[in-house]
Amino acid sequence: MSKAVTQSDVFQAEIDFLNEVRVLAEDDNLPAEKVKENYTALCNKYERLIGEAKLLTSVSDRLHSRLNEANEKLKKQSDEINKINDDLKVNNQLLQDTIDQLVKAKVGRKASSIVLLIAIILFIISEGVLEPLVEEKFGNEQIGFVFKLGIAILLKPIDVLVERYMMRKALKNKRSITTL
Amino acid sequence: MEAYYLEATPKTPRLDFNPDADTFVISGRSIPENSIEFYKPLLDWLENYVSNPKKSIIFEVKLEYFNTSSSKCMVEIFRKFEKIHSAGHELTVEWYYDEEDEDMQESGEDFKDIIKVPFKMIQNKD
Repeated sequence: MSKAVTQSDVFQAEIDFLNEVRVLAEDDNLPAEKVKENYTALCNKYERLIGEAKLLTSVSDRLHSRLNEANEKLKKQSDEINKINDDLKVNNQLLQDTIDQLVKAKVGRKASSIVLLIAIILFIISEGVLEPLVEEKFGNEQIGFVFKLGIAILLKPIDVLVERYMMRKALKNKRSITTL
Repeated sequence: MEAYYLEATPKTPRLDFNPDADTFVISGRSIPENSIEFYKPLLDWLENYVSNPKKSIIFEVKLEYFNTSSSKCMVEIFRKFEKIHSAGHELTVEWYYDEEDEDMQESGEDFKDIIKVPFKMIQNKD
């Protein structure tokens, strides 16, 4: 409603003039000279209005064309941004995979070191404590060897467990850093 | 008579109409929400000015962009200047445009065709 009022306001002078002429046209007692005078004024106003209508159409067309150009430019830019975004997503995934592999390798190395330490500790315990104890109790060297074999067989599962534990810890740390 | 001055905003132009100066200026963008409401005080001011104008006036139009309803208001402003000119006063409209802005140049030429006052098209230097 307010928009319609605004648009008619733009042509208020023309509307006023039209109403004025309409009132005069209904007056049967108007002298011929006055009729001619009003008719000439109406023609002049009409001519002026045609000029203004041409101008407004021309301005409006140019604005429309400008808007269209801007719209096309925006669409093109939007497409480019989307493409860059897609490339970024792919690169991001590649980067993430590389980081994961690096973390895994780092954790694997750490786990191996820990397992090696455990193995050394177990070897020392086996050599220094278990073996003399077994020999003393059973008097059989082969049982000590079975112990050592058991420790050697357990090394791989220990390595897997340690690696899993450390990987979980690393992922947890990564998640808390991302949340921050 | 007091001067009519309005500072430019992102949507409305600078209006500098000082009755003691030789030059009136309108510059910037003209895309107000309601052009009639925006230009009405200026048109009223010009209506008063028409009865007692200076001998020689230059009206500089340095618009970057304007909407359709603003162009109708510009026509109304030019009509006031037509009155001053037809009363025998020296009046020139100077329409400034950028070299690369063909739209503004063509708009100036459209106004020039329908306004009966001396109208100069001036290309901005830089």
